[in-house]
This record gives sequence, C-alpha cells and structure tokens, in this order.
Amino acid sequence: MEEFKGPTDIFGMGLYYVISKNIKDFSKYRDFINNLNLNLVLELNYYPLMIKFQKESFEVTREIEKPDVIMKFDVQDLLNIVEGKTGIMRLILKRRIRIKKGFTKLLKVYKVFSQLVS
Amino acid sequence: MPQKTENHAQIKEELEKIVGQDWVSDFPEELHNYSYDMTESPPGEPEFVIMPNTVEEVQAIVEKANEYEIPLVPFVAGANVGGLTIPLKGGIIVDLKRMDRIIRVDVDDMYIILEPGVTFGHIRKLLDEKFPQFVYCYPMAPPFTSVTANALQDGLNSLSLAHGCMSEFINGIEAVLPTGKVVKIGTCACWDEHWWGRYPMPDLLGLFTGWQGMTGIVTKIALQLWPKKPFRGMLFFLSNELTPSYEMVRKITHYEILDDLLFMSLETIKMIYGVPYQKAVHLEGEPRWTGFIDFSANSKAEYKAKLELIEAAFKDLRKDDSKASLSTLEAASKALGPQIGDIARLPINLKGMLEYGGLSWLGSYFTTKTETVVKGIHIAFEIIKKHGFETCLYTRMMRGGHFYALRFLLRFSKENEGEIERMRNLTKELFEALFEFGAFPYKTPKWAQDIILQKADKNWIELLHSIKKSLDPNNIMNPGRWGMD
Repeated sequence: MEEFKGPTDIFGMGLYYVISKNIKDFSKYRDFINNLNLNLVLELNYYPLMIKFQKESFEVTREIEKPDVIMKFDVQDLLNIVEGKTGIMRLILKRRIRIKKGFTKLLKVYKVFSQLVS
Repeated sequence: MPQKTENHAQIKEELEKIVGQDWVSDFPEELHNYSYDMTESPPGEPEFVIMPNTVEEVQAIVEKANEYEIPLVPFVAGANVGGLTIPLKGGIIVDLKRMDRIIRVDVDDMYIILEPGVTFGHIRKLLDEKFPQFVYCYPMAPPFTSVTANALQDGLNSLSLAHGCMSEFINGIEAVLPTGKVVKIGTCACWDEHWWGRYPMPDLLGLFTGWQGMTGIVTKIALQLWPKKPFRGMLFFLSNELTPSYEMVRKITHYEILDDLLFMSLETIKMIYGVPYQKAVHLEGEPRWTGFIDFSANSKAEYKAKLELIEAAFKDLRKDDSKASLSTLEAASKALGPQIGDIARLPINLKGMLEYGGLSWLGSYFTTKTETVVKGIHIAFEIIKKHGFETCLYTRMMRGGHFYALRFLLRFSKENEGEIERMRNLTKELFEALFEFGAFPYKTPKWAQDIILQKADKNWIELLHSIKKSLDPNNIMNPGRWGMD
C-alpha cells in the first residue's frame, strides 16, 4: 500500500493532499510554492491549522507557532468558495473571512488558494 | 492438512468426471485459499474445491455429495465478511466463479437475469455500456464480489434506502435443491420468458434468502433494475451532534426523495482515505459525524425542489449544530481530497479497509427509534474503544425508514499477535450488547447464531430446523449453522 503522508485530522489531511496534488500537477504552482516562505494559520471554526511553506517543502500541522498570516473562517464558507457560490475576496469584504494578521501578505495567500479552488 | 474422507480418491475421480480434471482440486495450497476469510472466524478445512460451469454440473455435484454424504459450501468471492463460506464440516467448496453469464436484460419489465459468478464489476460495466437507462445498486465492496450472494444474504446497497435490502430486489431464482432437483421460484416457474416477479403466488424465495447456502445452490437470479434519471445530486455533510443529525437523516428519508443517505462517523471517512491502521480516530475539535446524500431527478425543476428540501432540513440542523456544513460532494472532494468521493464510486476497492489483512463488520438491522439508535451507538463506541479498535460507523436508513442498518467497520491486522482473539472478544461483546437493543446481525456468523438460538422463539427455531431437514435430509448444504449440525 502506498505510504500515507501528512496529518490525520480531517482538514489537515485534506489540505495536505490537495496542495500536494496541485504541486505535482501544475508546474507554475509548484514553482510558486517552492519559493514561498510563509507560515499561514487557518483558524477554522473547528480548530486552527498551520501550513508552513518553507521553500521546497510544506507541512500542515495543528501546532501553531510564529504565524505570518492568520485567517479566520468557517468551513462552510470554504466549501462555498470551492463550490463557486462565493469568492475569497467577497468573504473578506463581508468579514466572513477575517484577516487577523499579515494583511500585507494577502496576495500570496490568495495565490495559494486560488489554484486550489480553480 | 484437511482430514480426508475414506473415499477421498474415489470421490475426486467422480468429481473430475463431472467437471473435468482442470476444475477439481485437493491440493492443500489451493484449498488454503478457501479455508479462511478476512474476518476473525476460525479457519475451516475443505477437502476439495470444484468449479462447475453449468446447472447440470451443479446438479451432478449435489447428487454425488448426497451419495457420499459429504458437505457442500457454495462460494464465489468469499467476501461476505461473516465467515459464511468457511466450511465448518469440511467437504467440497463449490466455487461458482465460472458461472458468470449474464443471461439477458428485460428492458420493459426492468430486470436482469444472471448467474452466481457475475460480479458487481460485470453488471456495472454492462449497464454503463449497453443499458445506460438503468441502474443497479452497489455495496461498499470491491468489484469482484458476487451480485447473487449479496442479494441472497439481504445485503445493503446504494438503493437500499429507497427499496430495502437486496433480497427485495429479487424477482425469481433457479436453484439446485440439496437433493439435486432444479427448481424455479417466481413467475419463471411458469414461463421461462417471464421473470418479472414473485406474486401473486406462494412465495418460496424465503427458503433461500438469509439461509447462507444451507438450502441449495442458486444458479440463476433475476434482479430488478431501476430507471436512471438524468439529473443526479451528491452532497456531503459534516456535523457534530448525534441526535439532531440523526433526526435530520430520518426527516429527509421520510421525504421519499433520496436514492441513498449514508451517515457515518468521521473515522470511517479517514479509513476510506487510507489513514493508517489505528490512526483513524476522532481528534479533539474535529467534526464528529459525516454523511453522503444521493438523489436523482427527472428534470431540473425536480432536482431544485429536492435540493431545497434537503437544504431546508439542513438549515434546521444548524439551529442545534451551528458548525455543521453541507456542500456538493464535488466541492468536498476538491477541498478535502477525491478519496471523499470514493463513497459514490461503488463498487470500489477501498484500500484503507482491506489492506491490513483483517476486517470484521458487525452489521445489524435495527429499529429506527432515535433514543435506541443513539444509545446503541454510544454503547458500541465504548465497547470498541475498550478493546482498542477504531470506531468506524457506517449506517443507512433502509426501505424508506422502516428499519436501520447499523454497521461497525472493524479493521485489524492478522499479523499482530493476539489481535484475532481480541477481535473475537470485541465482536462477541458488541453483538451481545446490541442484540439486547433489538439489533439482528445480518450475515450472521456462526458464533452469533449460537447465541441467538438461546434467545429466539422456540417455534421459530423448530420451523427453521424442520424446513432445513425437509429440503436437505442428508444435511450436506453448508452444515453446522443455525444449530443444525
């Protein structure tokens, strides 16, 4: 059996898989991620998750330390974005997604997610 | 090494005359494959395996078995997850895989006639390619498993919410009785071209469903197909509170708008995902429950109306469970990984379930009463955790909400010392606890049968035994079950 990689919590598992898949399938995304140095915290309405982008590698973990960006949002909103019912920017403007830290790095975060939901 | 009967060589020669030398074996290496299954059931010791290709060959095998009073155990994939094809008294495994013909599809009366070796993979391929206007339905099982065995054992599939367990889909059968006679059950008993039902005549199908191969070998079966509607909706939900979630499941079921609804613990999704053994656990803060909703419609308007009803029910759930979420399965697959969608791509080899060598699933059919279901789940989870296994729950409302299928997917590693024994202890304790609540295990393993026989109505048991004795005077068909040694 192929070795299971990544975390075993449901949202961490999903994010890890989806980011890995996109890195594997899309060279431009891979290049972008491989040059990214960012600690992104997603404060989901269930529990917080950190994605550590550390140039050439990334990790998804429930251990939060030294976040560069903190985004707070509801899992239902995340699913609505993926379903195309709404968009990241619209939710930010409506304050459904709150940027608690790192507003200046928002463009990088947007690039991480826009590929995943496209 | 299996114990050989006195006439072993003679029997082998006579069996070879029936099917040819290539299709009989008494090699220990080959018999080994039939001596066990994925469950914790103790292994058996078959003496032969034989692979017939026609109903005439099956008849001849049965006649021979009567002559020597040697047991027969019908077998296709052996994936029943209940030890049902492990021979308890030695004998001959009748492997029906060669009988894999799809006889015909009746387009007007919507049924398919097939032989016991036809698998879910076969039927799916045929319908997708040649009869796209129809659907059959699929269990949470690999494509190589037998359609006939699933129907005869009252299985639960992806249309069971609407139409009931799989025996409800049977229009008729042809079977070789334990005496060697061939019988037809249903309208096919009168007309070979009509296999459309079992009414309004005395219904003898019950002599073959749920009997675990003890009353004969089914050589043909007619199963209902259903119209495939042009619009399909697949939804995925996460929730946290058991009682409100279950009440929502029941409410939507009663709308009679669904094809399927699976209600599961989060651990089940993790297992499907491939999370390693013993790691499919509920972590603090995670959603507790998850579900998959499948519905279809004849028009966009009907689709929209059904979706609105489901969304409204879900909105009510969110009053008690504000974190609950609902999305299309496609969106959930994109956000959480395509493995989430595997539940909709049946039949499928769910790698996380079968990769550790052992799988048991104590499945039972149960009342739908909320209080009983909730209490049953809590008690079951306590027992499972106590024994150190994962709480992978998989449930489905059955036949429009007339009863409930409650099933615990218990994977284990046969390589780990002591684990088989631990699993036996778990399944026994789990069964006893749930039986007290009114849960009847389907595909009842022998050890559970022995317990049930101590508690069931004596007249029922007497009738069971007298029917078996009448049909099978030499007790050759899968003996040793239901107290009929």
